[in-house]
Amino acid sequence: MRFPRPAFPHWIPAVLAGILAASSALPTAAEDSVYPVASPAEPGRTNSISVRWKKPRDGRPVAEVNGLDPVRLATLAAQSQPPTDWRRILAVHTGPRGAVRRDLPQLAGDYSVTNGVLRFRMAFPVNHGVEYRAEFHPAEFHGGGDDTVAYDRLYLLPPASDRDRPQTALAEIHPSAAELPENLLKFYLRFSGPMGRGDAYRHIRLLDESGAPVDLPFLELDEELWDPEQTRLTLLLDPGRIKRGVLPNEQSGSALAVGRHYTLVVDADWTDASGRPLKSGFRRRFRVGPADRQSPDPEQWILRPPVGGARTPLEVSFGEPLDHALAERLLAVHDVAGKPVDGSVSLSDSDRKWTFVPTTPWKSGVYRLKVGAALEDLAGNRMDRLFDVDLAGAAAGSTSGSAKAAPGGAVRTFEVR
Amino acid sequence: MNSPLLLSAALAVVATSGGLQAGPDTGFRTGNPGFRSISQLAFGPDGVLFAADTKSAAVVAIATDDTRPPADAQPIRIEGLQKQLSGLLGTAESDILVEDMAVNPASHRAYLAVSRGRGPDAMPALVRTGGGDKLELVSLDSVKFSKAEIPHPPADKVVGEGRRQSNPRLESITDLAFLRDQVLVAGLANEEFASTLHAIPFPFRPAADGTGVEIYHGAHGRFETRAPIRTFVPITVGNEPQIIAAYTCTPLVQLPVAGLKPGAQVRGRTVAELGNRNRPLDIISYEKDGKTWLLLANSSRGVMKVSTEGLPQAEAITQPVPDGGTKGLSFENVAGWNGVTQLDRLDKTTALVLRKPEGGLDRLESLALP
Repeated sequence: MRFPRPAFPHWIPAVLAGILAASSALPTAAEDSVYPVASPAEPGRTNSISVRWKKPRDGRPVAEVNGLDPVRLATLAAQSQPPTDWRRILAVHTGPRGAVRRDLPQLAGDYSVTNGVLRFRMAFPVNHGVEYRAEFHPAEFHGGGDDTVAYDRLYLLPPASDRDRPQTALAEIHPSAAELPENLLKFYLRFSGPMGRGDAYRHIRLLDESGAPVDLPFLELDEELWDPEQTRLTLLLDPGRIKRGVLPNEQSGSALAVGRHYTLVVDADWTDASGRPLKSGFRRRFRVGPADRQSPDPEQWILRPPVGGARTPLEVSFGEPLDHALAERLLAVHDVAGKPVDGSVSLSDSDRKWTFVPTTPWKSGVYRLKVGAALEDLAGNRMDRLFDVDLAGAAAGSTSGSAKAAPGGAVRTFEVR
Repeated sequence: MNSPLLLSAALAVVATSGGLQAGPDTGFRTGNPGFRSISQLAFGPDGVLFAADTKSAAVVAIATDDTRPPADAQPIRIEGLQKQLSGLLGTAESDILVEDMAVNPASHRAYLAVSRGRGPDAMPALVRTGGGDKLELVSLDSVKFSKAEIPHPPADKVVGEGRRQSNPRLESITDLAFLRDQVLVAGLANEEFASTLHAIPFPFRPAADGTGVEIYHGAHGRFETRAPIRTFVPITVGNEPQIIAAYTCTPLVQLPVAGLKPGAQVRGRTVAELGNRNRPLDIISYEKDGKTWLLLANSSRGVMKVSTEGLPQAEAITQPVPDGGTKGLSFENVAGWNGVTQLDRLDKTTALVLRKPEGGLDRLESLALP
């Protein structure tokens, strides 16, 4: 079968191929479709060459070249010195036709020859919206001849139709109290779905009462402190500005000033894991109160014991807001034998109150509320250690708060009747 | 021919086969290390690459067998690195995140830890330079590797029904380095403000002590805080291995490696105080004119050169440092090194930097050490 030299510019078939592939949302649209683009009709060539994409396994499609001269193919495959550069013969890349010759590297993947077919398998799965072009160069294969027209084939999974419709929202910010301490250590930003990583700090600002951004209030870490699902970002306030006696604190002072109001602003153009912007921006206004230099003290917490025989809640009032994530994770109920009691936990009253509902009804008896040592309040103070210890004050016996050695955490007991 | 003939000669993927032998002695085995993420990189001797996998809470040692410079070694210069990586990995430019860069001192090739994607399902990739402007993917399908789990904090008390599914706590590895016979790993948790530094013996052995080193910072001998390490570099001061570490709160401190024992509480000696706009990102050391210097990339994307003259000889630092913030090593900004985000020593006289100058393309290039 011969293909006449095309009467239209050579890029048109590629565009058509792209349109064909784009015309269906199904990933299979572009598979197995032999699309022999026009090739030069030269004497002595069979011209049955076709480039096609094979159905992907594990999302990694295979580009195939069929109809190659088997003797020539075997010769090339057997060459080891100098090595056959299969990338020149079958170039697979994400640019426009011919781009690979200029400035774009070719796709990472493996070449193989089986049963007279040259194949390329991508190292990574395909992404929606990216054009993958398999470009066969006959002159490179034959070691000469006209290479102005190549055989090529696009693989394109079109972008999702609702690509730009926002789906993810910033669901909540902790701490949520109206007043936060001057030495506040962190915020948690929880989203309704997974977010994209890499430019978080560009989308978060802290504004003062005049609406002017506070200069460098946050610890900006390239790693960005996300949870594994990337639905929660931990935003640390710059510890250098909180810690007394450190240069940034002495130069610029705390990012937050007592008695002032601030607004934490999150921009709507922050994109989620699939590249969509947020449904809306987010603003949280708060007032700044005095620095908290007291350790959390479980002895002062108020426990409201539940009633036996039912799944009534155990309520614990801290008397102050505690770190949301740590309070959620580090408090646990154990029975008298030391066995953890299964149940669900919730925090309320701006993280001042912890509520536990057991999976099965309470039995009468003594229980223990165990508190992990790593529990922090909003300023990073732990039970056993303040965030920044004033050693001079400690030596003088005037350590504020009731910090005491509790390396293994604390225990409160309560009785269910 | 019924079985596929793999054509290894001209692949855009390079396979590594280690010079270290797999076996019980070294703990190395052959296979795919199964990275869930890849971030910080550091090289040990003989082309052994240490790569952090934050999501798996592990450090993987890979015997790259990349132990001599390529025959046609050309100066590394890659314009538009992000675009080049997107072409190699077959994705959009916006889906490429360069997590870290390290130069293999044995071959002077640069290795890049790259995330392909920005979401939680981003795929980790290891890419290296092939000389000049070439990039190649390092296949991890069959490498000689050894893995060390980063010891977990005390067991989580997961009680809630909804929270059986997942634990939101994650400790990001902020830096790692190889020093003599151990890998030092600095981490920062996304919940408690912890200051963990792990010293893991290498070759990796199972059942290492799970306790990290607690690092404290004393300011003016008065205020003492837990002090997570942002970045650090091992150096030798008077035959004594030390690390120079930059805390997240910006002081540069010196810590004797001998004191980094599991469970120890260590207080760094402040050797320099950096100002508000000089938050440290990356640090390397080098020798020039018979002296040891430090180069520090900082958050304003400039680079500072720090003299180590005047570093005190090693001694156990267990007491708060008096006047820590008022005396310090001298440092100067290196003119022209703008927009630096990644930094490593390429050879004795050259640094390799990844930078994005104002209004320009991001590029990987070598610069003479100042």
